[in-house]
Amino acid sequence: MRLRFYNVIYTIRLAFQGIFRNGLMSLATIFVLTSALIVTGCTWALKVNLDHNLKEINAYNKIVIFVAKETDENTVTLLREKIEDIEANGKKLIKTVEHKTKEQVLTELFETYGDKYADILQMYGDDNPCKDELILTYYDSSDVNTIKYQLDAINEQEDTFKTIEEINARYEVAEKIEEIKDIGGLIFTWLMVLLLIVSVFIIMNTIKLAVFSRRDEISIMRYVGASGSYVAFPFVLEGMVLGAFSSGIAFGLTYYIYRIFAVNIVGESGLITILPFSELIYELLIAFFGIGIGLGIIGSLLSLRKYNKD
Amino acid sequence: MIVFNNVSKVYKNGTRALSNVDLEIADGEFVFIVGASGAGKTTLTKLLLCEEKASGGKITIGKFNLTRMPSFRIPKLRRTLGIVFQDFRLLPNMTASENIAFAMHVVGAKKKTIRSRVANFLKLVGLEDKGNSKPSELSGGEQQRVALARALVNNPDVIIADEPTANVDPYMAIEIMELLLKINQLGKTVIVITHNVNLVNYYKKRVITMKEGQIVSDKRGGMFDEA
Repeated sequence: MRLRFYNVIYTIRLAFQGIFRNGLMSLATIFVLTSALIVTGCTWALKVNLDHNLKEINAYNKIVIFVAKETDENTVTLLREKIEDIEANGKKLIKTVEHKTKEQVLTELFETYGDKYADILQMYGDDNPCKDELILTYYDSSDVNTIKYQLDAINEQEDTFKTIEEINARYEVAEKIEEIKDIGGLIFTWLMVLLLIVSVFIIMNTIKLAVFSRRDEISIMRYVGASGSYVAFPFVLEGMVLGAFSSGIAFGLTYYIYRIFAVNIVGESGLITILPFSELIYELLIAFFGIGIGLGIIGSLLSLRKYNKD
Repeated sequence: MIVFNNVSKVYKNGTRALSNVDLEIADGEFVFIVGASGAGKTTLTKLLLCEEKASGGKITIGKFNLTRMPSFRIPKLRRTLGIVFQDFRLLPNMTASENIAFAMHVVGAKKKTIRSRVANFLKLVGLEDKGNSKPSELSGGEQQRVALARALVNNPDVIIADEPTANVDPYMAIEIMELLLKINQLGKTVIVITHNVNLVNYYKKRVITMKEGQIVSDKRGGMFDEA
């Protein structure tokens, strides 16, 4: 049998006719699929924003090293280079190292507290009580303990022996962030997996009902000599169209929900920041259309199995 | 040529529907298959359509060996058969023309061929003015004629009509039988499964009588055998 262009157009027409003839079932499928995609999409958007906010908190996390007072400038430079080179398993751990001389530290102190504590600060006169500071930022808060361990090791090395007087790091904060990140990631991932599994079942049942209502049509097709793939094609196409349509609606509604959430609920508080929707757009579009069309096709094929037999 | 060679069919629940059936139907023959309910007529039809597989024996229809045929060849076999059902089995959302055309789309016919053949077959069954009517707008007899046109449109070698006159009035029953005879005269093999004693006795064609899964009589120019 030769498949002509006209026959392909005919089966595509059958698929679209199927959507409109079984309007109620098509609507039910779109409704279920759209709802599933919105819930999954919003959960994902929440997870992305949680990660983003935790990263932001992370950015405030610094380790401040107070250099021993009598350390000369060359040794401080050497210490700085050693710190910059800190790594684990070939991965650099330190993002930046800023050196503040004791003079800079004192100036900053005057700038910050000069008005309130001018008397106290002037008591020191020319004798600068401050120490040189090395301020480190790191890539990942889970590395803080490793960094601390390596800093202790540097402090024991001959050429930088006892140059570090004190290390000021908020280990607990870093640990807490990591903990939230891990638990949050786990909860959101499982939530999305669960949602997708439930969605697949609901969608399959909805499509199954749609196919069931047309089982006679399928059997007649088979009796007049239609092959399994010929019968399946319009149904699969129907699933694809319904999937794509649902994805489009779900994308629009997710955008709307995200905006309401970002503007009305979070926007004013200033406690957390919300990523602009444009940063999620590509992932969401790909995921929605991929999942929507995929579920439409899989749902149609699985539901057809029972009736599309010889 | 249709050949049943020692064919048996036992369903999964243990029901023996056919026992050692031997049967030969030559090309161009007109055959009535008669018998009471449960005699095995439906099973015989299902085996011919490859809806069921025989439990034993061998069935051939022309070049097709049904007992060894892989499932992907079943659509090819069905395209050589024209099937008419008691309940018409028309697609309810399609018009009469579209129902007939559907069978041609399935075999990948050209648009022009489909258009001209559908018109010809509507004319053949006397429904040239009902092409745009949906099945629900047609009488039982008209629906059966559409089904007949659909069965014939791909020029099959064999027509299998399962109780084609069961849901139509006596006049229409005769019309449908006349149509089947006309088709038979064009060289097609026609197998009619029926309960209609009058029709069988009137046409005096070959009559195969089944009882309890076996062929109990096979007479040419025969009558409905109540045995």
